[in-house]
Amino acid sequence: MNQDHDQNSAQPPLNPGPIRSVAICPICDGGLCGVRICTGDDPTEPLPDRGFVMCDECEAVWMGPDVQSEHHYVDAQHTECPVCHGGLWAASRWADRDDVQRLGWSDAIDAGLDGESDV
Amino acid sequence: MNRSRNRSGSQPFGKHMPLGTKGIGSIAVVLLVGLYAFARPHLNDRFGWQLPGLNQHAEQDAFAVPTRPTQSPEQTPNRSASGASDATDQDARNSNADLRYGLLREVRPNEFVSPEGLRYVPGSAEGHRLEHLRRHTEDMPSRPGKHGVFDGGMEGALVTIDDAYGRAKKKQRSTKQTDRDRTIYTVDMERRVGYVGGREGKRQNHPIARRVKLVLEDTIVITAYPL
Repeated sequence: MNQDHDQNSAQPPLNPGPIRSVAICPICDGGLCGVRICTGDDPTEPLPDRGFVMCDECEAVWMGPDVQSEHHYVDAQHTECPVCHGGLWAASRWADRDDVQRLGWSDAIDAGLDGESDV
Repeated sequence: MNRSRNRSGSQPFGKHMPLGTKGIGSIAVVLLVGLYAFARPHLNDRFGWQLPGLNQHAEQDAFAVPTRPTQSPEQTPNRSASGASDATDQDARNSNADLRYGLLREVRPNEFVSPEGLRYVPGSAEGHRLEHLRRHTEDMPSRPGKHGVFDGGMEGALVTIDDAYGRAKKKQRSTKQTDRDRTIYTVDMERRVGYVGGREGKRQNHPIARRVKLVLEDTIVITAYPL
């Protein structure tokens, strides 16, 4: 339907977003509140194995799977992981089924919002 | 002198001259053309059509991208076919060549500012806010829920977002929600700006989107999408 332009002729594939989500974002109504897992920013340290939930549109963050609880936002220019405070995109990733199980958050997952790679 | 003569009623179409079939036909044509000229932008806006203008070839921009969003009349520059406007057009093209996507000025390395003052900076999962926005120029049919897709690729999206921000600043058919350092606008654009994709959009046969959701931190665009 939409044609792209020559500046985008060799663009990378679009970021598919979260794998497992707990809800559509109650703040922006358009994002997926996906579970992310902190992988830590120091490879010499054991994995923190702590998770958080983040909207992939407005970047609201919840420290547990209840998106009606208190939230904050990732800083637009200095994005940091809310668990280890390393760089957000390097020190955390979207959690898969096993990660979510390990976190004990499986019951909070809305299976209807599962991303393609984990369906 | 002529003016005073005309006022006195000595025009060719004086009231004593009966209107023939040709006269009525001419009036009808003029009325129809006027009606079309009046209704065309409204129909385009309302239904997302692209009805040709009465002066279509003069309106077309040689540098326009293949797909543009439906523009309101005030957004479409009035171009005359006269040579006088050619120099202006050339200047505009030269200055546009320095702009990212024909709209954004690079004020610092990798930091872009729109005509309305919106800033696009590095950040997001994609590495740059513009790359995040690019997600909303294509459908993601397997994405859960709805996925708003702007008409007109990146250029179209950026023009629409700037227009939405302009309307929001003027409090024109928009709502504003402030939450900590985020400001979230929902702006009714009163015209088609894209469509709803994603799994839910597909299920609903891709409904037309006329509103824009705009999430900002100060003037930095976090995300924007049609809904």
